[in-house]
Amino acid sequence: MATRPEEKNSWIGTTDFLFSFCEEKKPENGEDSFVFSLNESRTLLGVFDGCGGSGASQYAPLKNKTGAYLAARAASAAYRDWFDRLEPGKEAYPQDIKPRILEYLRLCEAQGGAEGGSKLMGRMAKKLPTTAAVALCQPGRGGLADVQLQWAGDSRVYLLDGEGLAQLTEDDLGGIDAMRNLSEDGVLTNVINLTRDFTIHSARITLGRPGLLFAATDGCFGYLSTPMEFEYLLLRTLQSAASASDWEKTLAEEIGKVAGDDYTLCGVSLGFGSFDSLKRQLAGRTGEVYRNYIRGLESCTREEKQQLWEHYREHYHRYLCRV
Amino acid sequence: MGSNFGAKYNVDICMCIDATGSMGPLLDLVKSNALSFYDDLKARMAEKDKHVDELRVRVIAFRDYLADGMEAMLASPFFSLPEQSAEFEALVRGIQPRGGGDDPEDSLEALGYAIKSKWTQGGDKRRHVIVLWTDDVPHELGFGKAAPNYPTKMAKSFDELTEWWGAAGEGGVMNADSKRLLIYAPNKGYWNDIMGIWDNTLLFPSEAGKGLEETTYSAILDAIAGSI
Repeated sequence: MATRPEEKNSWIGTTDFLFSFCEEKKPENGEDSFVFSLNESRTLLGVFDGCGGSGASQYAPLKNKTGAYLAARAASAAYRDWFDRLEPGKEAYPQDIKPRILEYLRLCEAQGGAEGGSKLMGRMAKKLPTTAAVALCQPGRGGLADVQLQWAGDSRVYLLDGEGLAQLTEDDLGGIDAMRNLSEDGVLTNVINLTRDFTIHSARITLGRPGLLFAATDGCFGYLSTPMEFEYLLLRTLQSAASASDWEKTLAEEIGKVAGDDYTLCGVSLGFGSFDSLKRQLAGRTGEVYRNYIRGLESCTREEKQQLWEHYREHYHRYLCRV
Repeated sequence: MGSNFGAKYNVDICMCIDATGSMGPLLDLVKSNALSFYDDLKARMAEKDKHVDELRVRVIAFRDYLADGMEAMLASPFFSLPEQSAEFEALVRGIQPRGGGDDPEDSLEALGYAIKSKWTQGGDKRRHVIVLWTDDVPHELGFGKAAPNYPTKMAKSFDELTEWWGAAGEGGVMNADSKRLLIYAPNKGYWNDIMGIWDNTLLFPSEAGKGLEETTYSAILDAIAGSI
């Protein structure tokens, strides 16, 4: 639920509120997980989407949960552990996380026993597979906040500010862009797992102006016909909300109406000062997105939607960190 | 993923079934799996609150060109399910275990036919899935080319068949994002090679003296449902 930190110091005072939801499309079958944590010097937020196709094997000793379910939780626990061990004022090294994730996955494997040890082979076969999209924020040296991004797979970290929505992390989908992935449903080329080597991509960006920084699994953005509609869904629900909690609730409900999968999102509002100020500063962008991309979209042909996307894409990719 | 903005999700499945004598009782189980496949997949998808708009299935029953002549390769067209369930059922029930000659089979030729299927281009999202059941390793491609009915346009070598499928990171004749290959076979010979270098593949290793376990069929269903 949306929460507002009460302390007022240099970092926590920059944080307006945190927001999150983790919804199962089918009760008791969800394979998403998330993590967020805040202390006086940093904020961690991340989402994890266990991969149901290659991670469908069930682990009887672990309540028959699937490898996908367990992997998403193991990865989120590893990040929580990593965050808790970070020393205030000292550098957070992204290369430290992979060994910790592997440690947690191996623990799952050990507890899962032989029945979890699927006999499946082949390039699609992966033990305990999950995506990750994580942001670690801290006070900025040259701006509002420094953000360390870490990711694997097709969950994403986004920034929404007065200039619009920006995808920060490039999907591990072999170069397929956000629009094409909505229709092609591309194949993941890199995910966290125990079978073959994987990469946790990392990058840093500096936020110079107030913004909403959030991580989302593909259930949030993968069931709309264009990426522009995702931005408008965020802005429309924001403008109609009376409070941060109200926005969080409405956003989850609206995404739930279209999602064909579990959907998980967690984020932080930085530097706006208040929810009303956030709404005011994004009001202009709401109208702009509606006028330029949403009005008349329903009657557009596929080619016309592609043209709109190509116009929108350059700005949407303004901070994109490539794999 | 499902279709929630009016997008249609179309799935084609090509079932390649070893119909040689050695398959014996295993073939009955494979046929039973094939016949219940539509209902089982639908139920599995419903568990995940997902659905497929159009599902088509075709069958390729294979033996050996040299040993079995005109009965070496039976390739059906796609059947739309559930509309053409009766035709599909009649075809599957008609497959009987016989022939096969030596131990290896002409299963790579069956894969060649499967890869070159007329896959659906309809819908907004697509899955093109090949499922192959066999109890033995394949012959070299072209082993049976002395047979008069051996296909002239078949891949000439395993390398060419690999090009048809598309090795890791490379394109092939099938859509790279849509294609999936699930093989129930012994983990040896070319099956082992395929698992090492072909993208989007899963092998369910069969063990000598053991039949097709229910858990394996369930895992095949999970793999397909989970990828949609």
